Order: sequence, then structure tokens, then C-alpha cells
Amino acid sequence: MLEVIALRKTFGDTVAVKDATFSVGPGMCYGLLGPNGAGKTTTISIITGTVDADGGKVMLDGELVSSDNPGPKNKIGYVPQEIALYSEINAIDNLRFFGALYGLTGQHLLNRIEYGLELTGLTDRAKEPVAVYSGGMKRRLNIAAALLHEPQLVVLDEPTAGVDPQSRNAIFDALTALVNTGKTLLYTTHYMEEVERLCQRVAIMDHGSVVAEESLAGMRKLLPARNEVTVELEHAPPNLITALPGALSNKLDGATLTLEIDDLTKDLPRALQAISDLGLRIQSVQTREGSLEEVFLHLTGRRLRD
Amino acid sequence: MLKLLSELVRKDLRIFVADRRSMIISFSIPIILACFIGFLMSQGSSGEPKKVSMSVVDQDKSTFSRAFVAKLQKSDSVKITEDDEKTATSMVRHGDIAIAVVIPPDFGKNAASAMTAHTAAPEYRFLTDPTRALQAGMVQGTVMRTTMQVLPGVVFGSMAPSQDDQMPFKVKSEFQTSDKSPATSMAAHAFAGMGLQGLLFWAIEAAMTIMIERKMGIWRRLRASPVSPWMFVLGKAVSSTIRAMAILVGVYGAGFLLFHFRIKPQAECYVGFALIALAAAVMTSTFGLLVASLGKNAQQSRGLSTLAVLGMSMLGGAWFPMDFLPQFMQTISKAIPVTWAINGFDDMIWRGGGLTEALQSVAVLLAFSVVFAVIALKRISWEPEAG
Repeated sequence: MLEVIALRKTFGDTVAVKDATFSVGPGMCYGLLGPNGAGKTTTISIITGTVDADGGKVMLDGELVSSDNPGPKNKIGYVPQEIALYSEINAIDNLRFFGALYGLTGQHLLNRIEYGLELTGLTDRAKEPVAVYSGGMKRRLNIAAALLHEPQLVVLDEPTAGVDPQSRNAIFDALTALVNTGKTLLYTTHYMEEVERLCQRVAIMDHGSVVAEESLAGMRKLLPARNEVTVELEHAPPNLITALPGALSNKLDGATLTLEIDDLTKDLPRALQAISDLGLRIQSVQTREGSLEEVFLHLTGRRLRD
Repeated sequence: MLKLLSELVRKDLRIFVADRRSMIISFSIPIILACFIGFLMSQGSSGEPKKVSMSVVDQDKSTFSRAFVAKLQKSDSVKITEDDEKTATSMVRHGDIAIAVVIPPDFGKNAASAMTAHTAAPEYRFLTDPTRALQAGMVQGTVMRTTMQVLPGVVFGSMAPSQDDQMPFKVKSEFQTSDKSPATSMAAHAFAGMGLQGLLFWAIEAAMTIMIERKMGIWRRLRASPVSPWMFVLGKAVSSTIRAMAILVGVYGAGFLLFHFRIKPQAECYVGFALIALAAAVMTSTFGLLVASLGKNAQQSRGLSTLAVLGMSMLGGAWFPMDFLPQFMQTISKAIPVTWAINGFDDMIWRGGGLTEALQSVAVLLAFSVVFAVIALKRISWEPEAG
């Protein structure tokens, strides 16, 4: 559905996006992960036709996206990172205005406004000026404004920035409902847990480049070990444990042994047997899958929120 | 396209009305300023001669000096007190009076001798406040005239012609206004000046909202829509013009109500006034777009444009009559839109101009609007910052 091909954009001497390439299939929630300044916002500005690329191209359903081509723009709903609303007027007037930009009129526009308000749980407060809304309510209205024209692709740029947990859940519920109706979502964030919760496929950006592009499971495969296993021993062992069969590495801290294991089915039994063979008694075993945060750290040498 | 344009305009008007405080300020500031200046100017031009206070220090105590003081006391143009030099000096320095005249000892005798035997003329000493040069100049003229009226009588006695017959002519002023009322004309001029200045300041605020919308990411959202950026600019220009017209109607409505001036009751003046108001509103709206396009941030734009508005208002004659300005500034003022707008409004209200004068002002104001709009469109950057 969406193809981003060798995208490049510079601002003065700064290269904001460097040969970014990825594609998003229909009905998929696609995550674009990266720390602040990674080039995510510039990338989606080009995808939404807000900015033109210096090189490369973006195709939506085979049509070239550019700032002066209204065709693809009609198929995209854009939720900017900022609360891009008129705070002096109420939610209905805001939605009416943004709907009119996409040619919606009359009863159809009113129906879509009603849908947007219901989806985001703002029907009861629809006639109040946006200025009196909480941050979470503004965020939700920010999303509703992008859905009025029934876009095929919804591009969300950090839609949960600065919201409380309750509003974050409301936003996730709304986005999950969208995915369930078959919409395609392109979701940028630097919160990996949001991507893990919503997305099926992910691209990781750093310094303007796409450093990895995989399914969630595929991303974890990029780690040397996909699982972290914490073994609590009955007593701290008298000697250091140098190597364990099945474990890629181990770290001992008192009676807690942390192992890096690639394949739980194949390698974990071997490692546990080796511990037993050393005469150590196991009290508990906990396993944890490698996170996107760790994938990012592994790929770039720094943390997502640096 | 018209439907979309009307939605763009409607949204701006809703925001204008919703922000009650800003709306009230937009209307009330020019009205208050115009009322204040209009009141001052209309008082100063009521046609009644105003007496300037002055002090006379008579150190001569001669027949001439007594006759001179007596004559001044009957003057229509000055109101005098007799003081010693120390008191008179103190009064000038404290701003109580603009000028004091000192008649030195033997002034009368020496002046008579200078008149008959051509000996050296004695000197009056004028103690003046440099900030009130206009009043001082007027008093000096009165002193000269009074001296020439009194001195021959003192020197030649009954041989001199009657003092009251010294001037072989009289002066009568006729104010060239359509309603022959200088007070309402000055008030109308003040409303034109302050109305225009208020509109330009309002345009700066309108420009700030455009810049804030950009900073808030609204432009980013607008650019992502299938609507052309030119349509957004057109929407802004039309909505600003409508709001500026509303402010002008409010300002002039207050003027008509409080100061009782009127558009000259001729169809061409009503049409001319409406066209000038529309052209001035268009000029103001494009000036706002220009301001929004020039500065790198709101603070910078506000500072520069405030300076520009103050300069245009001063040079355009909004603060005081153009005669106060040096000749080269009066020439520069022809290149300022405010001048043409104020002249146009004055023409339609009290100068007795017609549609020809109105169309001249309209043409110049629209030309300025085109220049402002072209620069603004070339300068406006739609691209967001890197992210």
C-alpha cells in the first residue's frame, strides 16, 4: 500500500533523512521507532505530502505522494505530534473545519463528526472550547480530526506524547478499533511498549537512516540472544561459573544467575542441567523475551530515549 | 472552491468572536485613542481665540512701558501678569508660562530716540521655554505689534495717528470644510488616523496568530490536506479584510455617535467612503500577511512591525498634522499607505472631495496591497523544521 523508497531530505547542512526505505502493507499497523531527532517526523512529513523529498519517492497505492498532488492526500489521515487544533473554538467547529478541508459537507460531515467524537469519547464535551480540555482530551480530538474523511492510511506522529495513563488507554482502544476495521496505521513513537502493543511490523530509525526493518518477532531475532533467563539459586556458588552449555553468556550476582539464551526449547534445558551438574540447587527460573529497546541498543549502541 | 473558502473564512471569524477579550481590545483601543485625540484637536480648533499666558517685567517704568502694558492687557491673544524678573524666570522654568518679556530701564526713552534720531535701538529680553516655541513665537509677534501701536503715540503725542487705526486691514478666517465646522473636522481626522493605526496594530496581532498556528503544527496539518496553500492564504486575506472592515465600522460608528461628524451627504461620498474603507481593510490584511512572512519568530516580527506601524502612523499624519514634519518627511509620506487612507477618509467626510479623490486613494491602497501580498507569498515558508 505504502512504499517509501530511498528517501532523502536535508535542512541546510543537516541530513534529516538518509536513504530511508520501507513498505507498509494494507490493514497493518506499522511502527516507526527511533529517538528524538532520528528523522521520524521528517519522514512522515514527506509521506503526508507536507514536505517534498530531496531524493527518493513515496508511493501510495501506486500514486506518487508530493506536496502538490492532492490525490494521495485524500487517502491519508495525519495526526501531527503537536495538538494542531484551534483552542478558542469547540470540538464540533474544529472537526467541521478539518472535515471541510477534505470536501466533506452537509449530513455526511455531521455523521463523520459524530463518529469521530464517539470513537474518541468526546461526545459529552463536544460543545466546549478546546482550551478547557485536558491534555488527553486534546490528544484524542487531535486523532479524531484525522479520521473524518475515512482515510485508508492513518499516520500518527507520537500521538500519546505527554498524556496520562487513562487517556493513553483510551487512545490505544481507539487505535485498536481502527486496526480492527482494516485501516492501515503508520505509528511513530519512541515508546517501544506502544509499538509492541499495537504494531505487527517495525522500522527502527537512527540518524536519519532505517537501521532495521522487520516483523516484531524478526526484530528480536536480531539480538544475539532472544531471551534473558534469571535463575535464583538456593545458595551463592563458592566458585565463579565460567561457561554453561546452551547459554550465550552468564552473569552471577550473589545467588542470582542471569543467562542469555537464544532458543528456550533447545538451549534452556541444557543450561539448567549444567547448573544442576555443578551441584547447585535451583529455587526459581524466570524468562523474559528481548525487547525492542534492547534491539535498538544492540543496533545503535544507544538507548531509544537518549 | 467558494464553499471551501467560506469555511476557511468562517473558522477565522468564529475564532475572532470566540476570543472576546481580543475582540473587545481590537475595537476599543482605536476608539479610545481616537476619542482622546479627537477631543484634544477639536478643542484646539474651536475657532475661539485662546489667550497665551505671559509675564511682563517692567524695569523701565516710563510713559511708554505703562502704555505698552495697558495695551497688552486689552489684547485678545495674550493674558499678562506683571512680575519681577526673578519671579518671571521661575514661572518660565517651571512651565507655568511659555515666555516672559523684560522691558529694560530707559527702553522707552531709547526707543523714542531710535525712532526720531536713528540712534541705537534698545532690546527687549524674552525669557522663553524652548519646548513651547510656537506660543513664544506668537507672543513675540504680539509684543512687536503692540510696540508699534504704542510707541508713535508716546513719541508724537496727538500728532500720531489713532492707535487702533494702525493696521490698514482686518483678517477673517474661513475654515475650508464641507460643514464649516473645524472642531468636527479635526475629530474626523483623529478618527481616521487612530482608526488606521489601530487596524495596523490589529494586523500585527493577526499575523502573530498565523505564526503561532505554524508553531503549533496547525500549518503542518493544513499542508497534509489536499487544499492548496494559496487557498489558505486567500482565506486568511479575506477573513482579515472582513474583520478589519468590522473594526473600521466600529471606530467610525463611535465617531459619528460621539463627535457628530458625518460623511458628506452625497452618494459619491458614501460610495467613496465604502471603497476607501474596503481598500484600507485589504491593505491592512495584506500587511498582516507580510508581517507573518518576514520575521523568523513571533517576537522578532512583533518588534519590527510595531516600529513600522508607529513610523507609518507618524509619517502618515495619524498623530499630528503633516505640517509639523520637515519637508523631506512630507515627501516620504506620499509613499506610505496610511497617508492615502487618511486623506481619502478626510476627503469623504470634511474636505469636500468626490469620487475622483476617493478612487485615487483606493488605487494607491490596492497597489500597496498587491506589493505586500506578493512579498508575503514569496517569503512564506510552509516547510516545518527538521524532526
